[in-house]
Amino acid sequence: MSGWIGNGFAAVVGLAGGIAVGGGMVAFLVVLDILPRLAQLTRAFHRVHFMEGAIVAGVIVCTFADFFDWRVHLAPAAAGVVGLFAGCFVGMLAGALTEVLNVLPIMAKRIGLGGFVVWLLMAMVLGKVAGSLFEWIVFRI
Amino acid sequence: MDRMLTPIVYVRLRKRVSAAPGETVKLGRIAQLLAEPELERTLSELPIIRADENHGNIALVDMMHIVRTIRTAFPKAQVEHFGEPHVLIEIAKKAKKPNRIALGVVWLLLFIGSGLAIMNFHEDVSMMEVHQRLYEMITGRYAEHPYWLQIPYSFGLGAGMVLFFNQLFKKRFNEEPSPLEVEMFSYQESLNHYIITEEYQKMHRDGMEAHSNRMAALPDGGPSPSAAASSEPNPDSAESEPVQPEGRTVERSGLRSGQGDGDRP
Repeated sequence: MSGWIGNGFAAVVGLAGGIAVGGGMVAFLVVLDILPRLAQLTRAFHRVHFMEGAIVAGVIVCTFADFFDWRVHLAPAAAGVVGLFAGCFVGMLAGALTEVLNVLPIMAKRIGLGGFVVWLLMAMVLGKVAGSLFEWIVFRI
Repeated sequence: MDRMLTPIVYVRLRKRVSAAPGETVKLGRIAQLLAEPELERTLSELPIIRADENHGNIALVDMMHIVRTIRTAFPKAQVEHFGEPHVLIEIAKKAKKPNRIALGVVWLLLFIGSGLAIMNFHEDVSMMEVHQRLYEMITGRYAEHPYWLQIPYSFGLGAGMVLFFNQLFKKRFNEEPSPLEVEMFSYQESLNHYIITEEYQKMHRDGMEAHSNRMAALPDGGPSPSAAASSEPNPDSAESEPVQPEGRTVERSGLRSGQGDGDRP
């Protein structure tokens, strides 16, 4: 009987934790304006709920796959495709975060490099790629 | 000439104008005018302010001063204005060429800094363990170094940032402004807003003294501004053409001036 009570309590804690984490993640994505940006790029403002659905589905599927140890046996190239998309998403997060923090406009204004923002941007992008490659290939041996 | 009895002058001020120190800024530089062709030509040569050192590097000219100047020259003129009631005059020594060395240093700073930041982020969220787990889930095998996942991931990182900022070096995917451009624009707008508020406060503090100073700063060309304009050899005209590096900002902000009306001081 006490096992039921304990499990029930665990379920309540799990549900509460899930709601908190899920809400936090959505809030994070909303603050960073990722979805409006993607909608703008694909010219699909009316389809933004479809994209919300993709996020929710991705979160749920990955959570289940992680917790229940789901596995598929695919070629390593499939991992490459997944990695490319995952990297793209993290790159967008990183870009959005830089933009929210207003780093580049202030910096470019301060030192009068207004016309070279593109180059500064490319410095950040290439720095991210190089840093990431360095970490996986050299740093983590 | 009987049409000139009550000439109406329509004025739309620009947002921001650059001027060389010592240059006498004429009405035509800071505003779009619409009037009888002859009057318009005379008016556009009307000196408004002399950009000198004691203004600091930015000066505010407001509509009141412009109306007063026009009425001094043409007492009968009726002035109608559209858009913002003030213009900022940026007094620049010369259009500064950006320093190549500074650019290089900043480039390196951003390159190394963002590389380090992404490494710290990966450590922070245990990205290595997540990648190993993900690789195991996809291929069914554990790998100490899932390079098949990690190398595409790294390039995807760059692709995502480029996608977000809508820029691949100088080439862009479509015509819409990128978030960075919007951000630069709104940063400039808030700077302008701050400066304008500050300058108006200064004007209030100094009261009439400021106005009399400004009037004194005008070259004493006598009551006839057209004579003053024609007698002046206009030495600044060579310089005054290129010193407007922010033509794009001005143009774009002109489109939005209707929206900006709500938040002006």
